[in-house]
Amino acid sequence: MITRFAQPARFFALADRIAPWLWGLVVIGLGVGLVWGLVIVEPDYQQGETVRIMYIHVPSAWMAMFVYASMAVASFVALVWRHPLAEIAAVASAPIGAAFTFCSLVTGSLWGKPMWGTYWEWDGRMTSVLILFFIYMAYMALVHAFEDPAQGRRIASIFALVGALILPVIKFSVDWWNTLHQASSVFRMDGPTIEASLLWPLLVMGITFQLLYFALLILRMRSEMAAVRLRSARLSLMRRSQTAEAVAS
Amino acid sequence: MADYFAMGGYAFYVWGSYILVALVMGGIFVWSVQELKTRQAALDRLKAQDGGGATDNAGRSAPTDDNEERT
Repeated sequence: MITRFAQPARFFALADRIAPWLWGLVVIGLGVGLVWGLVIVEPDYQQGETVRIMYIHVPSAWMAMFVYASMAVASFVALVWRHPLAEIAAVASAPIGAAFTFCSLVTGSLWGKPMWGTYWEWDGRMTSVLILFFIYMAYMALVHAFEDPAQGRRIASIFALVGALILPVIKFSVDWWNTLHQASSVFRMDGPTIEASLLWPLLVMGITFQLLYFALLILRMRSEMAAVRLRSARLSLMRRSQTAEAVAS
Repeated sequence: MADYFAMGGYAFYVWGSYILVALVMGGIFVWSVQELKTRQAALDRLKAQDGGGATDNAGRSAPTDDNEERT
């Protein structure tokens, strides 16, 4: 028991030391990435100024998938090794992933209107990302749907693993259903096809969003850990007062 | 300058996207900080009510009351 507890304590001690650096790098990354993407990059010859939406749309979409993949891995670790931190990491990730997914959907919609002439189309990529958003929502609902929080987290973990099937569907949706959304231009087998002057600021924003996820994750894991402790403190207080009553009567 | 903010006529879409992402990600940060503060305060109150001593200053519980949550 003590060794199991020592791990979260050590984790949070380390996380607290890293967190300020992460936030610092996020601020620097946002400063560099925003100036680069919003000011320095030239308007595209076809898309004009709307190309700037890419610098938040694409990193949001990357993170929507990355956070879900991390959540699935954490859920797997939680199920197999019963590691309490893994469960907390998965639960703490869900709202962050849902937020990134929401951002990618809405920015995509705001980019689609001027460029494709529509805010929304039931295209393979858009539909599969919308499903990912619903999976996040369902996961969060499941976690709190059971009277026993441990059971809720376990069932949500299984759900998160099954839901991971959406990730390859999203990745390959642009190839399977070639409708509106363009194909990958960064993570390709034959290397990026996107212009280097556009790629660099995109990578800066991508790394910044990645660091933002880790910084928010530490914050949310602290909060989830506090919730777990609160519950167990309430339980032990209740038990003690029950014992006291039993002794008194 | 006004020319820049007009974004070639796409101001609504470009600035709308950036403002939305700022609001959503800023919102999740503020909400998380508030949630952590509320939970930590409730935990501290509970420990104080419990006679104290079970928590150190960082809010870490003593290992004795930590086994319930793992079962």
